[in-house]
Amino acid sequence: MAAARSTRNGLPGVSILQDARFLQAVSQLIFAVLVVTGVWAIAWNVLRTLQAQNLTPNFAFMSTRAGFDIAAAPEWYTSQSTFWDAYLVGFINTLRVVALGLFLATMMGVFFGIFLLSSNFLLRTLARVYVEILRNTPLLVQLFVWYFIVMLSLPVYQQSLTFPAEGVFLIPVRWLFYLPALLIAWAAARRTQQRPILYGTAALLIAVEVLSLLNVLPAWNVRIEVLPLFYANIKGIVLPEIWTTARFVPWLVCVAGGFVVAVIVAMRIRRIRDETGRIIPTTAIALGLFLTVMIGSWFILSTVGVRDTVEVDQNGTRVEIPISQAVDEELLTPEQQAEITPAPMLIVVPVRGNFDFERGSIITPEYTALLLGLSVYTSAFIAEIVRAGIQAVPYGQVEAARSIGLKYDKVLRLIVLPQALRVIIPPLGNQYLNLAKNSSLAIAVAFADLFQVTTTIMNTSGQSVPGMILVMLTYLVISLTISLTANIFNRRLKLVAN
Amino acid sequence: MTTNGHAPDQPIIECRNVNKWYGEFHALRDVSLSVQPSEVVVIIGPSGSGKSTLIRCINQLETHQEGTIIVDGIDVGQNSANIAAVRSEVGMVFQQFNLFPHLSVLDNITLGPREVRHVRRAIAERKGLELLERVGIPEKAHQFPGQLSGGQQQRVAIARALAMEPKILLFDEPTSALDPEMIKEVLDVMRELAGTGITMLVVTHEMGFAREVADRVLFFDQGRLVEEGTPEVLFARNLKHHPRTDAFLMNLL
Amino acid sequence: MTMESNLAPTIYDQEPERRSPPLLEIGVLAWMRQNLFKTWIDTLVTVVAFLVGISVITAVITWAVRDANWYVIIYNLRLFFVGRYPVSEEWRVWAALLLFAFTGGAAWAAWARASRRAVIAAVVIVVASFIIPTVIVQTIPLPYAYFAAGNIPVTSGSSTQTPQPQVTFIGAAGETVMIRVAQGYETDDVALSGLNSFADDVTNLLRANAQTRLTNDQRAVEINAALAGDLLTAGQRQRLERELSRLTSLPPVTETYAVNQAPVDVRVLRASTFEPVGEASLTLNGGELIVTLPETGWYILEKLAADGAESVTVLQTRGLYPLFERNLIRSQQVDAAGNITAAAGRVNQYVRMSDGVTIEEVRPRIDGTDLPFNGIINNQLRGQSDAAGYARLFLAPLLQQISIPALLIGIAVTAGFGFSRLADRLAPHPILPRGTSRRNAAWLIVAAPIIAIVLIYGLGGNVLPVTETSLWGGLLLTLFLTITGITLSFPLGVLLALGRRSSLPIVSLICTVYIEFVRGVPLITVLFISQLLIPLVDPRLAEFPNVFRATIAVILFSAAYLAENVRGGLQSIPKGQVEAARALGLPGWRITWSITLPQALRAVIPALVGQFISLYKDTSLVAIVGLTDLTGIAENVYAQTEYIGLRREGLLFIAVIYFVVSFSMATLSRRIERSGAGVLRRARL
Repeated sequence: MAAARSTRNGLPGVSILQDARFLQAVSQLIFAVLVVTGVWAIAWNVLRTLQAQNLTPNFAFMSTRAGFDIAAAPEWYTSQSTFWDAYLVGFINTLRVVALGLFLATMMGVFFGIFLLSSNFLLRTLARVYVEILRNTPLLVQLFVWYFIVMLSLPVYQQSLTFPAEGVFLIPVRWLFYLPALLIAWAAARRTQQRPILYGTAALLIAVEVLSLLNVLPAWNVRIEVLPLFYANIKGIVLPEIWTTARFVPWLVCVAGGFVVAVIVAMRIRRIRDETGRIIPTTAIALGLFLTVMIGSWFILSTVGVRDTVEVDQNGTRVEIPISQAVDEELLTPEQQAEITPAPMLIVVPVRGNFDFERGSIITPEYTALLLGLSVYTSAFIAEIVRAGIQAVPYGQVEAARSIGLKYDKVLRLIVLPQALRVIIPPLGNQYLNLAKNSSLAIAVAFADLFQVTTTIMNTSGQSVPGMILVMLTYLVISLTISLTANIFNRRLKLVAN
Repeated sequence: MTTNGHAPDQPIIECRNVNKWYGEFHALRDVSLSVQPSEVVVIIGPSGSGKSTLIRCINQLETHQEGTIIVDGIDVGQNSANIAAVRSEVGMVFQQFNLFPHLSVLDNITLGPREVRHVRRAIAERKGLELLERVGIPEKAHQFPGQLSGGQQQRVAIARALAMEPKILLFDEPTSALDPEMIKEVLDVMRELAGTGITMLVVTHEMGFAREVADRVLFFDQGRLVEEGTPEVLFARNLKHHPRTDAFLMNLL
Repeated sequence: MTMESNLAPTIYDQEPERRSPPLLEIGVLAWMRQNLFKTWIDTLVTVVAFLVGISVITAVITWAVRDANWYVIIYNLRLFFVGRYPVSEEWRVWAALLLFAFTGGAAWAAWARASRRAVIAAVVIVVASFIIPTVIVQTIPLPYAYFAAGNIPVTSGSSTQTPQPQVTFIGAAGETVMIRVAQGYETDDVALSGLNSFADDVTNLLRANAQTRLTNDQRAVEINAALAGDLLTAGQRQRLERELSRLTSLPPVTETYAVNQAPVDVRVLRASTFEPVGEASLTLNGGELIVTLPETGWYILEKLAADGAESVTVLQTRGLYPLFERNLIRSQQVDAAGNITAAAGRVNQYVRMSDGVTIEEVRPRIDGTDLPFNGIINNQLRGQSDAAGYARLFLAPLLQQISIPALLIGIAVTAGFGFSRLADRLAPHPILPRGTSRRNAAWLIVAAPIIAIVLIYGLGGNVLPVTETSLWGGLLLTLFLTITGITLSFPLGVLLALGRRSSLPIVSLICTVYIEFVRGVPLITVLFISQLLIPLVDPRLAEFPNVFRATIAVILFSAAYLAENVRGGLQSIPKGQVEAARALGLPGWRITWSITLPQALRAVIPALVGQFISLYKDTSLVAIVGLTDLTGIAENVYAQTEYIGLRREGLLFIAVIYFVVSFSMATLSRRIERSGAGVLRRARL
């Protein structure tokens, strides 16, 4: 303690035993010796016991064959891979959950934090109930709910949920005109300050709809066939695959070039603008330029050198046949399809087979449950932090912002949130830390994250102590990274505000 | 937004039978008044008399429940689109300054023009520097509000309101939160402004300022307009006043 | 303005009247306008929020009242609350609970005001928990129980069963049992598919068959209709055709099994003597057997279909209800004279699910085989229950189980309250109005957890034998971990905080490293380490109970977080405090002990309660290392075959328990915070 620093040295007649500095040094030394001896004694005992069991701790075993499979592991991992590879799979999985979880939790947290302060009683109450339920029940229980109740209640493969719903739909032609008509009427009403234009149009449209429903007016329909893009079933969520073709890299180069050009142009325009004071829509020009390059190069690349034949395997010999014929006869492998597609990228819609999807990337229910559980749980805490942060901004700030004519969204974005951020950042960093650490609960839903994989490694190899050391150090590194980042942000915010 | 142009002889602010309640409390009672363009009107009255409430109703920081307030030809009670239009025409200076602490002085001033009027940064900043010059603190442009004294902050707040080139400036007790030695620097700026032809509506306890600058002084009490007149007549001891005006002035002097 | 106004002030003489605001500005209407319908966006939000809220609430209520099977909770309440804690020692848990209730009452009297509303609410709850179940039991009859009799096996899906010739049940003295052939199930499958009550396996198979057949037919009709239209994609058409080809049309179940076509000879026997207490031959259109039972105990229902009849008959009964078996552990019972009255060991109890009548007699056997009883597996009320059924089957039994505890807790709280009031009356504090009661309550708050832990763990000897920690479970274990965790980590946390702020660099460094290390790793790793490392440190520690290993982990983990909270408090103490103390000549440790620390702790009470809450929730992680805390025991419960598929009910129940405790702590903390943490300061006087 600061209080203990009453130095009396230098006074005559004081023995060395009364010298505060000496006493401090001695007591520290004793403390350090005690701690070191304690830790050393434990370590030595553990080592001896392990040696007796023929399990001297080392890390060499990590380079040997792991011999176990990991569900939903990337292709490069097999049971022949090393323990290090398994560890890496776990580490990557943890990062996947944490990174996306942080994003989702922040988004949801900010929204619910704002909802908590809504002037609308119902919204406010719903948000409050959401936050309180989530904050006051254990994450583990919530994870069980997400996994066993939500994810595992999804239907079996044959009855997969689909989005958008599959089927043929008849859309009345008249519906296509409603929105444009309303928009035009709204614009006209705004320009002429005559609201009845809008009301009249709306009334007219309602009349048309009613008459059509009563079959007084004839109904023309457009037939639209909808095929699903997303599926959900008990085995997971199936998304369309995005494939890149041979033209992807050239296109990417064009996009990058377009970006550079757009930035250079924007900088030039800004200089001209600052020098002459002329009003030039910088952002619009730069963005337009960039988009033109991006879309233009896509189309140009899609038309250059398009092949019209493809080599396929027919009865053991390779023959060249027209693409249209190959497509009709379904002779193409997915890789070949990617090769002959003229566009730089293509979206491959999931294809149903008899018992499982033949195409489409699957997100496992374990990953989904963990991700949702973690981010929803954390979002409740973030919502409270955001609420407290916003409430810490004096109301006068809002009034001042409104008095210079800023609208609601800009008041929030330009005035309230930046100031709230200064209050929010430190506890938010803590929540990010918690999310990262809580991701270790993946073991409860059998998701192969860092901790789950390491326990498997420990069980398989018997090397529990090195495994534990490894996993703790890894979490420590993740935690330190997050808190360092939060600290840097915090310091920058403080600098800005002095 | 364009405003419905008004003839020069039309009042720029017109309140007709404005009533406002806070819960059961009747805060503004049948207030009717009009302000001509370029007029400087000072509102005085004991605290709780509704004078701040009135000017906050004019730019709709508070909503009134009965009566009409027409600002520059726009009925502000009608809908929210009107409110935004009015607010960009009406500047307001607060008792507590309410500068944005996370923005530099210059950014505080240029925020409105840039975000509401979509003026380019360079132009807005040039204008901002001119305004700072006008309120006498050009050297503070790149500092943060927290580094300024109260008087300087209030002058920045005035510059911020002026940056929107408003037709009307509302002052809500601009000097009440200031130390005595800083009041003068703010009043000097306001005095200078009054000469420029901008319409000003000032709620203040600075009777000296009212006497010197105001075209007209309104006396509010218990949520209603009790008496009005030019400063000479309103502060004149020898004329007949409403008893409450007398009492108020007596206490003051 | 006119010219006159320059010469004289304009005075407005007429005073506008003070009016009430327009109707829309006050009361409910104004509130609704301000809070629900301010702008059109607001209105839209209100409508959407209302729809979302209403649909969630109705979905939950519909599920809870109609579809859920709450037996998993009602008949495992003991497990959920105390795990497998020995039955004979259960009084200790009760004593600890009542001690806490007493402490709560005393603290309430000492710091809060007696709120009439709270008292009335408590009384109403206690009284209602007695009256409501009685009323429900008296007014709503139990549903019938259905048993099948016959000679032929019934198949549905992959399971096949033949009706049991005998089945046992528990009866109480004086009860009547009624048995007859269930009418209406012989004509068509619709009635059979809606059979919605307790039913034995074979009856359930019949019903499942009927349901499958009806849904298949229904589905075929749907598919044919869809195929006839032209609103299908090619893929849909292909899948529907495939599905249709797999759907087979079956003959009616009533025909297949000739339901209710043969007469059944029914006898009811006393299991102890095998003597019949009633018999009859029942046919579809005639007769019912009504028997009054002479004593409480096991009975046997014998149901034999006529020889050679290829049929299944469904019997409708009253008074025969499903049972479930529970295994308890009882420690040795010794009476005052030192004689052993009951040996230690397992006890099998059989509980009648409809009303909880419990017996410990051995199950009836014939030729060395246990007779089957209609157990919980097949007695589950399949299908949906109506509100009356819900009240009779789930609500009444639950309330019956909580009525006595609620009364006892109520009495203990009242006693604690009275104790505080009496203490103030008898020995008034010289300065403070409630000084005496506050000092007492503070002591009670400190002592109660310690006494409770000693009670529950035991001291050894005959009166308080040491209980086996591996039997602890449920909420008991959760609370044990939380309370020991927080009380024991507290001193360690304070020391760490002081150490980290110490001016001695080595001490500060070591404490900092410890705190930051522990805060950087997940709790689950610390739990694993403690499970793993403790036996490795010394082989003799291999027997060290898992519960205590987890407790140590929780303490070590929690201390680091607590240290940071305390450090926050220490930092908030103005420097002047230390300087003033030093000016008085106080030695360093004395300044810390009497000046800085008390103020720092007071400042961080809300943070400490927050820490307490998160520790309470975090103890659920011990389930992962195999302990049976609330979460762990729930996982164990629905791992049993009887309760498979009832995870929703179990998870909802434990979530509610976690929520109630955690939310009340949070509310308490908010109240302490609002009253300005000065509560503690006054308590110290």
